[in-house]
Amino acid sequence: MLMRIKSPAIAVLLVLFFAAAMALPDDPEKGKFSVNGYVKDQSSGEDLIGATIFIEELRSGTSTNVYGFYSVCLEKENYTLRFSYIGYESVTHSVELSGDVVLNVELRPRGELLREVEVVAGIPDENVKDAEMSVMKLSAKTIERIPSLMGETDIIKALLLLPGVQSAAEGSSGFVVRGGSPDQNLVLLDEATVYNAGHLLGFFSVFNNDAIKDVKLYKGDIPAIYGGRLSSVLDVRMKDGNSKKFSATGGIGLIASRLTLEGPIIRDKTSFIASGRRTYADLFLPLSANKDIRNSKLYFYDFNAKVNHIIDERNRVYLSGYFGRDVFKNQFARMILGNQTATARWNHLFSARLFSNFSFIYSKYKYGLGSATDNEPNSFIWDSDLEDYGVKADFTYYASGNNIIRFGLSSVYHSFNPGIAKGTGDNSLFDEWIVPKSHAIESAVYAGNEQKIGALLTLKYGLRLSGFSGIGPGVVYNFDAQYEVIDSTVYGRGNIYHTYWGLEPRIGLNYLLSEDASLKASYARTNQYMQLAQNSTAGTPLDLWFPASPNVKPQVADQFALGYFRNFKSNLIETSLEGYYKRMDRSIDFKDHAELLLNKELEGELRFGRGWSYGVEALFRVNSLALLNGSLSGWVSYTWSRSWREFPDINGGEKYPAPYDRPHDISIVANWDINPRWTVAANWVYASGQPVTFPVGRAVIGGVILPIYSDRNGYRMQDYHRLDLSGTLHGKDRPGRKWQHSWTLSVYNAYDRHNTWSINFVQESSDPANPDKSYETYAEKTYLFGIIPALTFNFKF
Amino acid sequence: MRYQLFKITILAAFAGLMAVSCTERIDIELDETFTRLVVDGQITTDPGSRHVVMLSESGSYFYNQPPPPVTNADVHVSDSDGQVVALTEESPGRYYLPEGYHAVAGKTYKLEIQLEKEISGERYFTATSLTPMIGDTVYIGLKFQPDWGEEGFYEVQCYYWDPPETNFYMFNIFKNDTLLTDTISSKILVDDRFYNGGFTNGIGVGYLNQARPREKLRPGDVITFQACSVSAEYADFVWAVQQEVSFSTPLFSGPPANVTGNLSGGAIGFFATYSVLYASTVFE
Repeated sequence: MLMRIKSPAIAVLLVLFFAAAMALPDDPEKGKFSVNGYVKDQSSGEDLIGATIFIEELRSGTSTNVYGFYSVCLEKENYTLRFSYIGYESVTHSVELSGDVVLNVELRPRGELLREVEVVAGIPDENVKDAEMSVMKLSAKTIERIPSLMGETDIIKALLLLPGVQSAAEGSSGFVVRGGSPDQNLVLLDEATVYNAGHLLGFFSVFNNDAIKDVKLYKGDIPAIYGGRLSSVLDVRMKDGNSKKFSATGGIGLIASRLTLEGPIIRDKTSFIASGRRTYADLFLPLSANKDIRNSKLYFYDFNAKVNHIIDERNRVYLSGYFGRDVFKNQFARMILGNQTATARWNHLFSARLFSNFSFIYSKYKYGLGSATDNEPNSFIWDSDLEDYGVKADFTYYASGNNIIRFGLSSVYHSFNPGIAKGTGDNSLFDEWIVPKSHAIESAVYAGNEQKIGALLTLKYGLRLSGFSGIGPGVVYNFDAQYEVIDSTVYGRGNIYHTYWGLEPRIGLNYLLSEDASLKASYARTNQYMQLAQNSTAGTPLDLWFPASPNVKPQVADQFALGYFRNFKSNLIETSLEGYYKRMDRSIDFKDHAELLLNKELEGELRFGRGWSYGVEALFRVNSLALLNGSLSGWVSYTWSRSWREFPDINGGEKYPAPYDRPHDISIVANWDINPRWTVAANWVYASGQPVTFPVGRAVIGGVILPIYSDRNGYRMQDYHRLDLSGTLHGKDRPGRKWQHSWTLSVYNAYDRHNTWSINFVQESSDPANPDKSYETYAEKTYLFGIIPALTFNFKF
Repeated sequence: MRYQLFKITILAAFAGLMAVSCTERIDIELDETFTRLVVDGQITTDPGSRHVVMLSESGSYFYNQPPPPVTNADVHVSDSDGQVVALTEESPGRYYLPEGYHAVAGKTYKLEIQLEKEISGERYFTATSLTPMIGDTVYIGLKFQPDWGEEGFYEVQCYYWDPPETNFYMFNIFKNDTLLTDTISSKILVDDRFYNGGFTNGIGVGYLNQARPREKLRPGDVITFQACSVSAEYADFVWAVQQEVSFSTPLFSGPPANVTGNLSGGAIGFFATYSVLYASTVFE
């Protein structure tokens, strides 16, 4: 399955790949040597992702990759290298180059407080100097400090506070990047795709912050290494586990508890991390006055684990996995759903200049829904899942001081099981209903170069060639112009029945205007070969992923972005202004009253059109500003954007605002360490109301009032705004004591704003005893959250 | 079975979460649209029922009054054998077929409406409907489900041989001749996806909530079940209406959309003909 080279797509990609690899020069350039190594956290031994290495003499630098590795190629000279990472004290090393040098560096986390201004000198300036744009990074520490719903730290909710990122709906784990739909985001956990990033209908995200090291969101300018989604890539990396000493971190909250254990198996060589979470909100359900709720079960749990081993200087292996489940049961129904992922990786240094990583990736999302009991005539079970098996090889060639060449290839076998429903028990009256499975191979080969031209200009250019093949066994329905099925074609096992190709250029440049200001521009084309059959704005865990097929062409997007980046006060303050325009072709929407679940002829419900979005994002970010005796960090962002759709079969062919069109969006995030024991944090968000369709008339039919609508999304809900607060009290630090603890009081929606979740038009009464009232209707809004306080206890030892 | 079984199950599955939400009334200004003709007419195969076609006008959304009837129209129904009957307006906007007139399975019927005054520029409207076949007999039983709801539910269970072709069924429940499923949103509609051509060995077709006085059963009550075999188009129409009038949330609900019926000339509504079977049981 993995290497089914029968696939023409894969064969062509392999040939291209090896042709590219052959082109690499074998010998290092004459008179040049490499300095390379890993940058780690001194206390935990965790690799630091994106730590910067600045060469004082050349006034230029580089940064570590996702495995903490760096390599620079330099003339035979003496150099001073400064290593820095945000939140860590900088370290300077002198190097005399007379051959290749391995220089592994450990950085010490800076104390909570930053009183002395000179320490500030080490704040990296990647905001200005990096060739990348439209990228947002969040450390686990930043995320942890953001006040959260019910005290549950949530990575995805933190992302919603960034410019250009919006919520699909309140309480949803779906997020919208620059006007693209929620299924246009590639969500990766240690390189494995996470197909449903939410727990409990999306109120909480699947990522347990205690097990997470680094979060990076590409809103545009997506590097050639990534593909498969139009709008964004969310790259979440798990911690490797403390390689220095054993430690435990945990928390007890209002609805859930967490525990993380990590430590060395062999000191500085092998370490592990294991982290688990479980909610216990259901423990309170028996107290409910409502009988239906009393008899319900509702909880989720998840588990992250990772082991890594350093074999030698050149080889390191990682094994990581995630397993999560949501369980629900009441007297009518039961439901179990969840993701699981596994990634095995091998880092290999072919030479001081050629870094490689090989990954084997598995991912599965499944759900099962059934009646509460098994032996009734009506009892049934309905299962659906989506499974991925993937391989990936990525290489970085540090060609010279001025070029970093990245290339690689990947192939994923997808297996879609849209649904099997059947009766259970002996006296069942249901036949089996099977929506045919389908299978596909998605492959890509890419190459790109990051090239410095002179002291001021950095160019980044790359090309990704992707291919997507449908592979048997499978059934393809053929439709007429009215989307009715004419017939179907059945393909046998291993039969490749169609292939799509996509050529995806990615170009970017960074021009330094001064030491602390730059201008960046980028263009990226992205292809998307699978999408979510989601007709509602927030979606449910039951929504299905379905592949491109002879009836469904892949979606294509082109995004252009331009940005101005400026830092102040030795990088203490970062600002940026970015504008973008994104064009989406072959966009997918659904016909009116579409039936998306358990539908063998799902493709007949699809309609095709186009979309486009544009906007401007302004960000003002403070890294660590001395305030009174403490330090303040946070950001203010404002986004103005529009997002449109146009489908010949929808809204009479007229363009309409996408459900995610929110022209104005403001986020203010602040975190103030007042003193070593007290931290307070606040965030405030504002967004224009979501577009909605309201009735403009009524018809009375069959005793109900049927709405008559005019334009789709012609109205807007009320504006959304919300303030969240939190205060954390840390236990007294005593020298020599390992135990640390803290109490956090968080308040979600502090001024109790009743933000609209949905608006319904309700018939006053359908009681025949009161016939006059049955013609009266009124508008009613539903909101999810009032003010929600929560107390969390966290500990570490 | 499409909406009923799964949708009920899905909604039930999420009911716990819905319980945390709150609602409040709000004021909204809505735009107006032009007036349309609204048609609501059915003819069944039951010779004992009076069949009626109701004509009314659409109004602004917050009109909050009974819809204005469309009177003095010329309304005819013809069948595929060419037989034409005129309908009589017995009360404003209610046009009755002659007593004893009923549909015959397999025949196509055509409704023709000629208005006295134009509505949005049209005077003539028409619709056709093919009457689907239905099986021979149906039996029902009642089963008490004590765990459902506060005071339990009686589930009406149905025993029926489904014909081999694809069928769509709409179910009505009467208690002592009072129609309990008296609005389009309370009707249960299924397709035969899971038991096509098979025996429905006690499938649930109606649910009587014992916490509601109207549905509460007392000894001696007669429960009558009506199975209607409807066309795919009518089933789609009823499902769409049910979707538009049910509670909508960002989780489940697709974008609101106008419901299309089978009338020409831009009229809203449906003219449906369908086959029916009855079964009764006395509650003891």
